[in-house]
Amino acid sequence: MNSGRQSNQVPGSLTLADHEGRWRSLAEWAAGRPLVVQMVRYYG
Amino acid sequence: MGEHAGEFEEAGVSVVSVGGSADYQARDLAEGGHPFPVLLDPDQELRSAVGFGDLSKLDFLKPEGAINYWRSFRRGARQGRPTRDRERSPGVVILGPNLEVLWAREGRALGDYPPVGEVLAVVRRLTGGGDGA
Repeated sequence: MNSGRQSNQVPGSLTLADHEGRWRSLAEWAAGRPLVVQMVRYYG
Repeated sequence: MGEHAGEFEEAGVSVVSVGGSADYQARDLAEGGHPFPVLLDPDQELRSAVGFGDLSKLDFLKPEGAINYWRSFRRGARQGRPTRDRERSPGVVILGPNLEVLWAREGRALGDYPPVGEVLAVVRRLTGGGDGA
C-alpha cells in the first residue's frame, strides 16, 4: 500500500550517525541506490 | 527484514534501520548481528521529513500490538530500558535517488511493520526487477 507521501522529500543535507558515531548524509548511506529505511520504534 | 538482507542486495537497494536517541540500544542491535547499518535520529529529523509521527494511547492498546510484542519476545527480543522514543511509530519508507519518498507505510500499533514480502515486491517494482504485484 502506498501512503501517498510521494511528494515528500528528505533534505539532502540531513546527516545521521550510526551506533559508532560515524556521521554521513543520507545520500551517502544510500550509496547511490534507492534506500529502504526501516523505522525502528524501539531498540530493546 | 534482516533475514532477507541478501534479497534486498540482489534487488539493488541499500537498507538502513533508523531508531531514536539510544545509542547503547543501537549498538546492542548492531553487535547482535543486525545486517543493516543502525542509525540514530535523536531529533526526529528524518521521521519528520517523511511524515512519521507517534503512536497514540489507543494505538498502544490494540490487540495486534500485544500479539506482535509476544512474537518478538518468542524470537528472543527483550524489552530494554524505556527511552523517550518509545511512542514513535514503526514502519518502512523507500526513498528514491533524490531522497524523495517513493513509498511509505507507517504502523499504527506496536510492531506493526509491513510484511517483508510486500516491501520486497515494491522494491522490485520500483527498481524494475519485476514481481511487483
